[in-house]
Amino acid sequence: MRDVSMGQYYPTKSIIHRLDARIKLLLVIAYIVMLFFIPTVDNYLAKGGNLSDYVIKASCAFIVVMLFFIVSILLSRVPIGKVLKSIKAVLFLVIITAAIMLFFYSGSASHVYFQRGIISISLEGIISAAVMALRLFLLVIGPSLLTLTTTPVELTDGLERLLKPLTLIKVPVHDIAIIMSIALRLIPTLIEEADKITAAQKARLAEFDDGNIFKKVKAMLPVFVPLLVSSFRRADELAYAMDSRCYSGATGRTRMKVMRMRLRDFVAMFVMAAVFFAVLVFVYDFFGVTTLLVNLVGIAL
Amino acid sequence: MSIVIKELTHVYSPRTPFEKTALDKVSFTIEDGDYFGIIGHTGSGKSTLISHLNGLIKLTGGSIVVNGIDLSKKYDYKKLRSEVGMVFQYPEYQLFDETVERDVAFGPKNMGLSASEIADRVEYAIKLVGLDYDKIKNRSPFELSGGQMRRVALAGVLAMRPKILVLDEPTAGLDPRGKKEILDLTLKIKEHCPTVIMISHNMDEIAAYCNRIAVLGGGKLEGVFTPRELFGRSDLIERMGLSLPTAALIAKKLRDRGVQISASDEDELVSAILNARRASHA
Ligand SMILES: Nc1ncnc2c1ncn2[C@@H]1O[C@H](COP(=O)(O)OP(=O)(O)O)[C@@H](O)[C@H]1O
Ligand SMILES: [Mg+2]
Repeated sequence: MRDVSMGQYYPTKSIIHRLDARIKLLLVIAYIVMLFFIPTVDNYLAKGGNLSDYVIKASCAFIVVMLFFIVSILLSRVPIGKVLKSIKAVLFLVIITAAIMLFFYSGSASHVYFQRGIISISLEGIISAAVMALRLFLLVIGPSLLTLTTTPVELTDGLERLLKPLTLIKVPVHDIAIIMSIALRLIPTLIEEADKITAAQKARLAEFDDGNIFKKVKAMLPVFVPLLVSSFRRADELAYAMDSRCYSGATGRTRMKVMRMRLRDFVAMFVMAAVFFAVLVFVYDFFGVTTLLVNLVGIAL
Repeated sequence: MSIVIKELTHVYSPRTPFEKTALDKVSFTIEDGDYFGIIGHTGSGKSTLISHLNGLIKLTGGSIVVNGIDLSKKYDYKKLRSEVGMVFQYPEYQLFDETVERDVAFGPKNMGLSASEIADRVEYAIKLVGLDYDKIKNRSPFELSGGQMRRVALAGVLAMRPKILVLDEPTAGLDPRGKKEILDLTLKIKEHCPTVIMISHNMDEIAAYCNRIAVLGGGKLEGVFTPRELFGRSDLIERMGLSLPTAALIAKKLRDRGVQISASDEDELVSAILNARRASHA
């Protein structure tokens, strides 16, 4: 129950947890954009590149991203298992996508290992499947580190501050944020309430898990009706309480917890920028770095 | 028949950062006919403890035997739950049906009783909680007053004719008169349901109505006392963050100022003060 109330939040007092929520949001956005700067095999070959160059560029870029990510996890002191858990939800998607890439690669292929009808397995196919899986994996797991290290309330707060400029074009940012925080705040309360009512009805021998779907829905009524009644009561009470404390929306409202950028936030931004830059260097062969690497690998082989 | 609790331990969300030991090796026995009080600060584990008694929380550490039903073995939970009536905090929030009559009938219906038996029990229970059966049976529970709703909810449990009635803070949120009415009602109920267990953090209530009192603090049992024994332990009461009953508190304050009296309820206090006055005048 409590797990739900805090979203995925995993409390430790790490530096990642203490980063400003706004910065974390921005960093995650930058991280996602960065992943999209790593081209797919198709894309790269279509622009006239060759495969071995691609493999070296992409692996360098992925290694940088992975290193960055692993260091972030270690710093956050969230157990690796918790982080990997978020993958479970999309694992199916990842596998299916990778399988399609693997068996139905349709671009020009240099080495074809197997071909029958539309199914063909080629070197390009294998590499695209791997890249796609890796990219999806990193795409999902990055934001999950955000939700693991930031409470939902901090997130809404951060989002409100980030979206503040939108008030200029009459988007009710504050109202949206307050609705979100109240909803977030009430989810655990409602769950707790539902638990309590369920217990009370069970004490009166209510059965919740037998019979067909209609019976089940009917059996839920003794929980559902009181829950609805109490939600309305709660909404009323909350509205009165806010009114009587002169709540009047965003105008003239100041904050108790002012979000302030600290050194660690600047450091985090700097690190992210550096990682982003490194990825670009590898992918676009700035300063001939990748070419140099290619040559080195060539010599070594 | 009795409730025997041995080494009862319960941990919420074990093996997570939210792990919380709510009960730690709690052992005591509740005898038939007891008006048993459980007192402790908020979060001391009272609700967790009583939720074990009808199997709403699965037994994970220790053992409980309720009227011969061993909860650590496989048991008939329907039988257990009809035997132990459970009235949770703010029971009025569990009302759901269109009419009072139907709501009270929910428990007996689930017990699988015959229609005539159900009707009998509903009438019996509504009358027992002091409501006018004919006037109230067809009204919606949601249009009643708070006090009436609480009585209806209580009737919903009593209609199952439990042998043990558990009340979790039955007076929470009521005004002083409503509190007294509900408490006096529990005495009337006790004539039909011989064992009553009441949770409270109000010493006055516990002192006036219970014959034995278990004190819980931070999930541990501090002991089981009679009211008189408990008031002798002002150190314990203070440590638990509770307060003495008003009468005992006044007596203690007078003692601290050199008036030698002791009292555990209002009547005793009044006569003790009068005696002390007479003695000092003599
Ligand atoms: N469902 C639950 N999940 C996690 N912790 C809980 C849950 N219910 C109660 N607790 C915790 O267990 C402790 C005992 O709670 P409870 O039995 O409700 O105490 P009381 O009824 O004496 O106020 C508290 O610290 C409470 O926060
Ligand atoms: Mg409680």
